[in-house]
Amino acid sequence: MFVVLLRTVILYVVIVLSLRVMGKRQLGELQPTEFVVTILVSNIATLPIENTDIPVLGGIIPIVTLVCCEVFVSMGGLKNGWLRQLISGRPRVVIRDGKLDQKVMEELRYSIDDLMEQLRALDIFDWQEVAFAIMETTGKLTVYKKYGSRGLTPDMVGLKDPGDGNAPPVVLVSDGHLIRQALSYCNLDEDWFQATLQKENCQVQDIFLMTCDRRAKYAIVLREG
Amino acid sequence: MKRIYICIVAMLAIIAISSFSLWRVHQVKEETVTRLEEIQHALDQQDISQALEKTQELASYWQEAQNALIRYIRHVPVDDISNRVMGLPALCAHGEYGELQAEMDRITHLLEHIWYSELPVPRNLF
Repeated sequence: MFVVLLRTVILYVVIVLSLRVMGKRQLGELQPTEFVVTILVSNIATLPIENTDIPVLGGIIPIVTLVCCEVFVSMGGLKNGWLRQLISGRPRVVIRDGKLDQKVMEELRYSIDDLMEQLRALDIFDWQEVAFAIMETTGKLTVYKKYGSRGLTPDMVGLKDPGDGNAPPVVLVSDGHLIRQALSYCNLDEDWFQATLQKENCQVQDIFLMTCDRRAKYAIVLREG
Repeated sequence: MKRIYICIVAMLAIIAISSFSLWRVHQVKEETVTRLEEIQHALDQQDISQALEKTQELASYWQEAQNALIRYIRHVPVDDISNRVMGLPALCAHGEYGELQAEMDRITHLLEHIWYSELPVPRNLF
């Protein structure tokens, strides 16, 4: 059983490193090739774990090879549009200028139920609110609403940008640790941070979460217990 | 770009390991077949003590060789050869020369099969 235990740990490390090499997007929406690789990797990894007659290299080599092929193909697709289209397909417009394209839906084998379900997932209950709906290569539907259905924006009502309005708040302290890159992002320094801690009467170790933006507007959550 | 370099290095390492495993299997096969031929030669010369000594040497050699092979080859065929090799000294000691020769032929055949199965030829790919 120790053999099974150690092989599981070895293959776990190999798979985690492989996913890191493939890139973060692998963990989000999958292109067809990425989906294939993910399924294959998970199946291949179980073989040397379940069957100790198979050498560990018999699992590691195919996994690493699949990951490398995926990286090469995705890099090739990045440089070559034709290859990208061959591997991943292309996005298809399902609703164009507010009209359903039934021919495209038929080609995609995309039913009305599928369309309505994906629209509802985007909080759209009336398809007539949609100007353009595009079926992406990952199978996800992205939507551009008609002008009258979009949310109100500051530009529409003539509000001016108060400055740094485009910069989101970031995590400054995470579980008692100060993140110095976040401090630089907010254009703040150590002196401001220490002064803030004094003002709030706490130490950095007492902070569970602290977020801050470029206007030095911060929010602190102290540790419990 | 870093990922590409990592992948290129990984693929080169895999190719190196695969080539090394192929070479190792070939080396073990050749060495084992040579030893089996020596045993056969001793039997042909009616030199039973020499044949017995050679079978014991082969068994010792195989103990080490299989530890290297099982890193690259599925264990089942290697274990099959191990069972047969370990039985050779007993067959020789008890005068079972017919069975001894049959086992040696089977070992040779199994080794050839393992070696050929590792080659990247169309028969193995498809």
